[in-house]
Amino acid sequence: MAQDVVIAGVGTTDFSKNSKRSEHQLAVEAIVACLDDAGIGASEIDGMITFTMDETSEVDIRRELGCESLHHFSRVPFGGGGGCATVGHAAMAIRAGVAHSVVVYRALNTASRVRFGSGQLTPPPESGDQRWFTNFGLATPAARVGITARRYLETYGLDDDAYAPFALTARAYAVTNPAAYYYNRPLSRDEYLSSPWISRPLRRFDCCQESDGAVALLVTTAERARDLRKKSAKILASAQNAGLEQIGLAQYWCEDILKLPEVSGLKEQLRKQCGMAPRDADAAMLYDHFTPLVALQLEQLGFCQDGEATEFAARGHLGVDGSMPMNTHGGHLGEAYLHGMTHIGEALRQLRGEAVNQVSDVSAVFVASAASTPGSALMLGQL
Amino acid sequence: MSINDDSDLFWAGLNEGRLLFQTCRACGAHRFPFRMSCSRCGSFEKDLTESKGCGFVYSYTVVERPLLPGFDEPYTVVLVEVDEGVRYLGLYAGDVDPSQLIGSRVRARLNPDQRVPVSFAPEGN
Ligand SMILES: [Zn+2]
Repeated sequence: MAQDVVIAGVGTTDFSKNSKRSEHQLAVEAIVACLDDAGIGASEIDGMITFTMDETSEVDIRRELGCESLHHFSRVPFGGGGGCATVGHAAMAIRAGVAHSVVVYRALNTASRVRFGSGQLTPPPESGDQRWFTNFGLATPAARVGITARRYLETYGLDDDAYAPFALTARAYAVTNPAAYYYNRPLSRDEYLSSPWISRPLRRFDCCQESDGAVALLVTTAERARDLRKKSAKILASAQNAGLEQIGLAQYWCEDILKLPEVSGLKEQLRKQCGMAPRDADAAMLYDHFTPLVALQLEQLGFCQDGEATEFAARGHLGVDGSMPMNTHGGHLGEAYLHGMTHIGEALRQLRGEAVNQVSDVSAVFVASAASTPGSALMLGQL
Repeated sequence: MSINDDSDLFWAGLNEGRLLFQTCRACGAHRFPFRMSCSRCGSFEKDLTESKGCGFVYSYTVVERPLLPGFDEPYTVVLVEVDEGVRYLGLYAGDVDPSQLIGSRVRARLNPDQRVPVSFAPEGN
């Protein structure tokens, strides 16, 4: 029987459009906040995991924190799809006995330094051969998603405003979240409809924030967590999966572009590990960089039938009193865009009962980094 | 997907005015984008095949902001399924009402010296 592993802390910086400080400093600030939240000293940290896309250095951060040892450090590829996998890899390192307490983090100045949405004509090598898109006029993530989003509307006979409920739901949550970029700034349906087109059918408010900030999470053993002053979230299952014909944000060469090819594998692994389906959770944190991909995730993860996701959202199922409260912090659309790491932190807060938009009686939260890239997922529960 | 040792063959074909896909020599599967081997049967043997460039619009998006360098008006990018069974992206060069675009027949035009080297116009134009 493998030992139980938990998420015992979350720390964040402020989220802004210009942090005026380095990603290194943001990472350190978030980790310090996370250790404080968990009530664990830096001397206990012996592992660090981040994204291959992260530009900070584990060794430099360790020097700032004064960790006595660093036994395990590794990185997860494929951008936002790696979010839940950073926690999953930490859990594996702990279960393998090579580390005891692992900090996972992501620091990103994507608002002030390199905006993904500005169009990367010469993207980093790990993003792969983007000539298949950029040479054909699709320079931005939004433009690539636009093709899929249009096919979805056409397939199910939906109007161009069908994605509105996702944006409105996220922004309604953000209104009451002091950490959110859109705190106290409600979005009306009219404002949504009059927001400018980015790449039709995507409007500005169908696209996530680009943010400066950092998030850190502490992963450790359940045994250690029992002594801590705050509640921890038990990792019931963690999964990572890539689809065969998967090319990030553009499933154009999959037979059906309305499926997220990584998702069926994620579901199957979760079921094998903990016997639960995503919809068995009491709340869900889905990767909401673009509203149409939330629709695809809801369907492919089994929260609703194919073609019904926008209606599912319009009927209020994703609200705090709905059948499946989703992204209760406001998500990437309303709070901040930190490659899905805020979503994992929010899952911990929901399980602790300390979320700003608290769902009642939370015993399990599902988190997906199903970003239309090779992805990952977590099922978290009460310790 | 990674830059692989076959990718450049596609762009070289475009420069010669040919819209290419790969055909698996073992199982006959057609594929695009270019890569080394066949995901259906695993064979590394393949031929370059020229598409006639005729097909139907599978989906599209109208890019409004930011525009590519060299563009000052919104432009439409179409994903086209050609009759040989593979899908290509390209600029849309036609005036069909957007609500009628998906499913409409188009034919490729190659402009290797332009910023976007492939465009699709309504068939018959
Ligand atoms: Zn083959």
